[in-house]
Amino acid sequence: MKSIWIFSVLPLLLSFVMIFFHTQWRENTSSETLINIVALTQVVTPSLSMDYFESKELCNINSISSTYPEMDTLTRMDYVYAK
Amino acid sequence: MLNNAFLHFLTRMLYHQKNKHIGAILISILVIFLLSAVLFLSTSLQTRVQKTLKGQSDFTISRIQAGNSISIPYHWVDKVGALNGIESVVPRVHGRYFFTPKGKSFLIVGVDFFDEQNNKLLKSIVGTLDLKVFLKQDSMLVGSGVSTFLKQHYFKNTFTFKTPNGTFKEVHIAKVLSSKSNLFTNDMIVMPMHLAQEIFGMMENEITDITFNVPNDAEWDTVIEKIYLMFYDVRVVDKREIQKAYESLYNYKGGLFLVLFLVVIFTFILILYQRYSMVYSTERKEIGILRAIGWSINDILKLKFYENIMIVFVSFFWGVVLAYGYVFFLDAPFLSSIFLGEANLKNHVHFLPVIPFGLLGSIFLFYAVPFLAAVLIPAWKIAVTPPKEAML
Repeated sequence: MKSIWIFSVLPLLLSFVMIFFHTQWRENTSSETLINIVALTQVVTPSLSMDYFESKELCNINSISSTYPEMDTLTRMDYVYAK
Repeated sequence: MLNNAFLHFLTRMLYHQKNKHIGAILISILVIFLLSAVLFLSTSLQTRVQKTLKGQSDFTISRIQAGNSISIPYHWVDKVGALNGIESVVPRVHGRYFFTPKGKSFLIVGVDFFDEQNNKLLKSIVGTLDLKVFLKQDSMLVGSGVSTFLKQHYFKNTFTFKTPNGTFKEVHIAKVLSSKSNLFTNDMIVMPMHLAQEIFGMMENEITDITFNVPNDAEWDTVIEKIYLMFYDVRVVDKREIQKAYESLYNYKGGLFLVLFLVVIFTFILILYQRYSMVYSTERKEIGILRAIGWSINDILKLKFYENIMIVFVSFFWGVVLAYGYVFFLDAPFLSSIFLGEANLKNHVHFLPVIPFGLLGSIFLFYAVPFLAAVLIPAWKIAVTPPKEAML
């Protein structure tokens, strides 16, 4: 009886909770706040918790990869957010 | 063969041999949970950043000297504004303020509070704010991370900035920005532009950079060319580049975990394969008995397939559901710091629920196909041997 509950009823219940949560998420409110903040400050950098002296390059992609040449180098961002 | 007797036998066998499968199920759940959680996180952040980037200006001009970004004279704003096809030219004053005693830094953004559009935006962000009182004294709006940090260090209503000239500037904390916007404003301080200039030691006629829009996409390249001809020491970055950079960043981090997942799955599958192909395993005896009582090779493979596909589905379902709950209900404690960092102010973000169905489908295939192969191939090898030999 316990295993039936674990393998059938609980997954069903969890699925319903997940679907309900997913559809009821009030995305507009938080999105609107974020878009307004970006429009006001014109700063769109996520608030990453990094050291002051840490490089703004978050990963070591300094040169264009030969296997994936479309990928842009992150160093370009330093010109915008270097300060 | 898929009749009631077969299903009855299958379920009885699964129930009686539950201890045999529990290890494989638990390991699978753990691996799928970890990978799904990372993918949920990276997709959620990517979606959020890409959505918000729509509010960002099309271009940003920075002045470069010896490879570093330096201040721009204010009169460049008029020069840029005079170009055809350009609109919404906005001067920006922003930068990081380092709080030496604790080794933490804040992002200070100077805003023109006298601008009508900015006033409207401000009202929608912070609700009721008496601008007259706000502008009467030196005031600022702080992100919730900054607010928590300042309160912890006994700066309840005001904070004193140290300017590069060695003077101190006391600024009143007017309001805290909503925690809904923590992804962008956790370490942010918004203040009048002149105050930000004073704190950074900039002159009144200096700004950090200039942003502007070009409504006609076809003119983008021409405008960039004009800017480069007008100023020789600038760098123009367009919105698409920033978009690409963030996409690459989160793909890179998610990709690292995907590689780890493949390594773990490969090891796990090898262990499974070894277990099923052991010479004296119970599997051999079981298959030998079934063959001896008249089951065909096809029936045995079907039995093994259905038995293991159930294990695959159960593990995958629980792995994904637990990952969903962990990321979107609990806001991914521990794991979020891989994506958001924890070297500076602690950030608590509510992640936007996004389910990457394509990625989940790929994980399922990468997991289910090798899993089934690792069980079915040894089972088939045993089934084709004579029952007497198999039961030895």
